Amino acid sequence: MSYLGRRLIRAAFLLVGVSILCFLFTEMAPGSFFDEMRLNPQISPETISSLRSRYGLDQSLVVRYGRWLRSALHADFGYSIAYNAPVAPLLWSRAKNTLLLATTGMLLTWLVSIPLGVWAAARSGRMLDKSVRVASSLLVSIPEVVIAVALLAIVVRWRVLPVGGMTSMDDEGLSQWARLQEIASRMLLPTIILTLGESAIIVRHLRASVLEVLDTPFVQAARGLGIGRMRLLFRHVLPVAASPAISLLGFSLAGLLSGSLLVEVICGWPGLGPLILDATLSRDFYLVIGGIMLSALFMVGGNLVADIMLLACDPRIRTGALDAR
Amino acid sequence: MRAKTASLIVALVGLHLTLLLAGFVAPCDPGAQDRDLPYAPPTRLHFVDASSWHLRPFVYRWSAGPDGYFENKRQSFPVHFLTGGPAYKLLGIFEAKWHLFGVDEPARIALLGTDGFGRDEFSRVLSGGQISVAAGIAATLLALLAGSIFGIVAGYYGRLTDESLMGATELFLSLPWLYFLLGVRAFLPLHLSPARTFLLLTCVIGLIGWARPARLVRGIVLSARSRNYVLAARSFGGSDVYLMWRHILPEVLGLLLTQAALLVPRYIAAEVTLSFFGLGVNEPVASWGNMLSTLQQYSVLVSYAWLLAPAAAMVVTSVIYSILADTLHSRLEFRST
Amino acid sequence: MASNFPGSERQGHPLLHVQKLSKHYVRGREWGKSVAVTAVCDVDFEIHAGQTLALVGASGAGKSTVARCVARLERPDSGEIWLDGTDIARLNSRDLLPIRSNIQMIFQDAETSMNPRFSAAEVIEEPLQIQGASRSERRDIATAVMREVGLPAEWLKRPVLEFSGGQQQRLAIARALSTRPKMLVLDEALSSLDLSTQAQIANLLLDLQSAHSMAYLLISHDLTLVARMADVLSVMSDGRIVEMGATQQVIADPKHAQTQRLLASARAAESKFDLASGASA
Repeated sequence: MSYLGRRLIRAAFLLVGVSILCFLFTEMAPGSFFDEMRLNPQISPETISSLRSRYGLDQSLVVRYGRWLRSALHADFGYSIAYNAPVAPLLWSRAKNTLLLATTGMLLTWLVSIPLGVWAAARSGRMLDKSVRVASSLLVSIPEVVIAVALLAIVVRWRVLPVGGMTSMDDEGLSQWARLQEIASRMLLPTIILTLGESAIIVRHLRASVLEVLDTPFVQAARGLGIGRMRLLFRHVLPVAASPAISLLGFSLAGLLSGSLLVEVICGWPGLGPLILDATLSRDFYLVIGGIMLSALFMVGGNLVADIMLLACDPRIRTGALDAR
Repeated sequence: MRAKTASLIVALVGLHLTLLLAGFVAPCDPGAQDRDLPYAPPTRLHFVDASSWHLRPFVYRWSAGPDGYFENKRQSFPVHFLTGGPAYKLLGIFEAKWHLFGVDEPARIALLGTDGFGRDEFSRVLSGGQISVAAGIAATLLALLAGSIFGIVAGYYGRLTDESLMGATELFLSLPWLYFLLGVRAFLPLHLSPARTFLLLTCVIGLIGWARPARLVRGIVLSARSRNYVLAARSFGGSDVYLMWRHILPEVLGLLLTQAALLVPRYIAAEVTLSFFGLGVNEPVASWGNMLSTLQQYSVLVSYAWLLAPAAAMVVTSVIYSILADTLHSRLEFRST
Repeated sequence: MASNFPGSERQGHPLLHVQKLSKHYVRGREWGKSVAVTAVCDVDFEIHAGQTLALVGASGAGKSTVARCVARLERPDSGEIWLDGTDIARLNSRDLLPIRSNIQMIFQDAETSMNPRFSAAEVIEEPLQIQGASRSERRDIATAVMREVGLPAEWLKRPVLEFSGGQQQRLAIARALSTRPKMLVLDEALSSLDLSTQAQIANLLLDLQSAHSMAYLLISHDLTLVARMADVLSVMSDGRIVEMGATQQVIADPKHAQTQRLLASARAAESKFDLASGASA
């Protein structure tokens, strides 16, 4: 229990640290949202300076941070200048879609990676293993932008799947079921792009750790006892080999979130990605900070889940045997 | 093994030399527009005409017709090698006019077709590659420099220094890199001269990337610090700087080399992603990212497959670098055992 | 077996005079409070030029901590360490640097005490380089000390990994000699060697001692070796010196229980060795 407690405290510190970091970055920003406005001759300098003071941009860093913290405690997370609304609801309406994409991507990633990784390791050196290795190292090395653009080109060219947005324009008349189908079909391409990149990494790691476990004396002993191949692999080897892979969970979540930002923009999926990109382009600071905080929150949450899973499947952590400190 | 290493070195040198001498290899000025030839497909190289075979390849001009471009076969233009052409600056310094190949006016040779402004895609891939790869390498150097300084300091001094620095790395690692990149980019001016944008991008990408190398370096330093020979050198009165420079840095170098090979393609991708989003190097200067960003229009993406050339160039670069990283990794591992 | 000097009754100023030396270690923190462990407490001893003082004791008795404090790898918490007329206990690293050439340490495991990437020359010249000697000076000294420790000077260019265990220990001694120290700290310097090599190196050390009239602080758990090399024997237990005297006298008539225990176990090991007759240690 104290293990989880410590993790929670750490996570809280981390989030505060990220927010401070964000505000430090705003300090080095020479431009602001209103600089673009200043170029517009129809807006007087007085209007701009009154707007600046209304949004508290003329205050010092500490005051701004204090205000932001207070608004964060009210679950507003600041005020978007471009949308003229609190940041949190704006983010949340989009974050749902990103979460949908990212969690589906993650599930699919693990569903693909676990059997593939174990299988490749079990048949190491054979054709399957070799092709898995080549494919995964290729996918790992090719940048996600390229994968995304290339797949999009294929899909758009041959009209395999509908692309862009979550639903088509005329979804009013559709039934609930049809709507769901529509969403699923539009989600397919972004999910596949995400899964391809991520599962390549996980398969590689899982394969390596399964190979390592296969070499250990206890597996040799189990093999000597004549335990069936499948049972050996999935019942004895995988749980041990999984724990390094689970600690990758947090890492892969980071990849998924970054990837989903990219994929959302490219595929026009209405998630956080396009919102943050627009906010970046229009210098809507608080919205950007909110987006970063939210991504940090997802990461911290994902890492906590990974910790709990590790706790559940690695008895050494429960007994504190691995607690070096 | 040796042949493999040799071909890897040839590929690496070839790639970088081509990009370095982009002005010479490219037949056209990457910025030169041709409003009559937007989205022209790749120029075809011919060896056979109506009368006979030719050893020297020749090309025809593209002419716009009612259903797209067609080859104007009235006049053929032989391809010249090592020929004069538009002026450029070799390595950014020397004025030069020589090109690896070219054709006589008014014909144009566009091996990878042209973009919406009629600019030669091949020349742009090369000059864009200069920007993107240079940004990747510079950002890598920056990240590794910062990472190894902080990593060595943290690992060497331990205790409070270590804890605070590692806390900072955790902060940087707890953010998905793309969100982080966009966030930092959001706080910097949008419209800048290309040179300043390039510097800024490099700094931002390097700044974000220092954390992971710092952690790895710290780990090595931590184990190196307790080595007896470091202790011995300390007993001779070796200063901290001396110990780090003479005993610890050489241990770290191998790791840094492998990390560099891993990070360069990743940072190229980072630059490309930012430019793709319109947050990086802006037109008219070419970069693989802003070249790909025209593909955000689905109509362009569907119709002009040759505009995917920068993506192909990125694949080639990334694969070469990842093979390099694998080779370095296995080499160093082999040596340490 | 005994060396030429009569022992602790020598007159004149000692080369090294340690007074009330104490050192604590922090063993982890709990809720911000540090838990201190006393490693060495109120240790006094002195060594004259040309003399060897041995520190023996069970592992964890604090011998190595004394050695590391004397060589100033650690900063003692309290006490004085007078080396040749200077108290080095509180000096900072800059003021310590010129004094370092007077005192050198030889470590237990020669192999790990030398950077495996270095050549023999680089290893030997390192202390000189830190002291700021010129390149030609370093080369001359390296050649000279190689000869002194019985290694051919042509081997200077070889990487240290190509030297055998005994040769590496000679290299370590050569490195220590390079600054012409007045005092050597031998921290279990011979214990990782096989018996015949150990005897050779011990002879070498004794020859060098009489040639340069160096003082040795010998840290060891091997009483046979100590009996052969040391003039003065002091026994440590739980961070304190519990018994000190001329080596032969202490061995012949141990007063403290800890000394008796050490001697008994040494004799037991010896007789076992006799039984095994010829089995390598």
